[in-house]
Amino acid sequence: MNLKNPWYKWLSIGSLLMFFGCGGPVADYSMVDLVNTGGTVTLDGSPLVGAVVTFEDPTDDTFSYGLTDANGKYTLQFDSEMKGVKTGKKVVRISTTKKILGLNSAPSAEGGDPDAKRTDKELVPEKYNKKSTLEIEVTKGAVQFDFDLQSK
Amino acid sequence: MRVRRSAFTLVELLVVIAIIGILVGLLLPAVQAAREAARRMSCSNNLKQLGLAMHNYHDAFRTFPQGFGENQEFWSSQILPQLEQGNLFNTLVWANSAYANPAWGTDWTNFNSPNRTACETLVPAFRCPSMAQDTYLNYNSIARRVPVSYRGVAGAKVASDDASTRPAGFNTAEFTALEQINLDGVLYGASRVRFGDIADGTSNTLLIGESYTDCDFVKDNQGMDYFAFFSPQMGLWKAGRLTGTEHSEGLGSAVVQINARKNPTIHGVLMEMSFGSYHTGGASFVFCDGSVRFLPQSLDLVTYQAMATRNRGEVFNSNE
Repeated sequence: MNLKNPWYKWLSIGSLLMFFGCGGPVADYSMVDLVNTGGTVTLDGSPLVGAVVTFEDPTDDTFSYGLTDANGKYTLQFDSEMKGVKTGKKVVRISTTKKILGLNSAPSAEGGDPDAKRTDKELVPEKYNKKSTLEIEVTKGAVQFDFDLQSK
Repeated sequence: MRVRRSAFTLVELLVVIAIIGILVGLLLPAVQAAREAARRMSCSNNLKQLGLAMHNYHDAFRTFPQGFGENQEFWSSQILPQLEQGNLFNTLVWANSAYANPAWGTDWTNFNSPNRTACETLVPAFRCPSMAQDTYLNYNSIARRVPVSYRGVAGAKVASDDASTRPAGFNTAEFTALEQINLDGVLYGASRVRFGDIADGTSNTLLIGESYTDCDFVKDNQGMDYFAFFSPQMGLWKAGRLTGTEHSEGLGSAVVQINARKNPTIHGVLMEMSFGSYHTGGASFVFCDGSVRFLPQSLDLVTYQAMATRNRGEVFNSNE
């Protein structure tokens, strides 16, 4: 018998593979058109650090979210197990006080502490968050969305 | 001269190993499926126990327990004596932890009371063996909080904890919220539903269902976290007062399909309200008559919502 014959090798690898089940996410993400994207946020020309960026879908109130790093860069997260944002029209809101579970607040904090005192300050004017005028369209080939905010 | 010895050659040995490998490879998935089938049966048994406990409660008090009440307590804490957990039940304190109580600390983050200890106590009847979650989680400042699998059915079109957080498309008058009273299910805030109130028939009305508990999964700023006995975030909720949140830890609704967790087009708030399970293809429910049935996730939403209401008078094919 020729031991170099791959027949035995493939057989043993095949049986080994049968021992391991399939992993991966629970949800079927092919149901939504997701685009991996992100960008940079600057406030008066300098990078905005630690701001929560949300891309809200006005038709169903779902949103993708990201947190800006030291360089003002963010990448969008669809939910805690999947990156990306749905295609279509979006309202963008940028805030330094917003808390998103699993992003800048632990999921175990859900429901919040009604007695907690707010220590963080909102650095971004209302026209970029509560009364946002930032409306964009995410298309299939979207690469990145940069925002240059003005504090005045 | 060669002597023929009686032994295996290398080829024979390898062929035998390969055959064993194939057989084990075939057997193992079958064994796993058998284990899952056993877990599903164990889960149905849990629901049966909860259903019987609810019936015994009704026998004693002439009503089902309230879904949740003014002391941040869920229905699950009320039926403890009927689940042979009378000793745990006797430790509980019937006062709202949100009120300043020097013995407990002054706010809910210092929720130090026998009620907190109960939240850290595992009662196996509330946990589906297929649920892939740790037994104890550090949640909402309760260091060893025990996640559970079963929640009461509050109604058909209950879209959120709070009326203000119902998402677009689900914020019209026909959709309700858990903080409101007089919902159309059997267990909700300050509910006192009796058998006589279940006009649709106890065999056609859902009582308790299974949930896809996944505490670390977050969508649209909502975690899929479900707990029993008490929820300090319900704060100072009172019948008629729209306050507190996270009532969904102990109650759910039929607002969207079963296993919404697996459908990423659904808003996180609705996902948190939905029932589901770690079993394949659906979730188990106990009906008000005490029967346990496995409902498929492909169940028609109209039928599903008809089952979730107690007195809407819908006619549906119960074979579905």
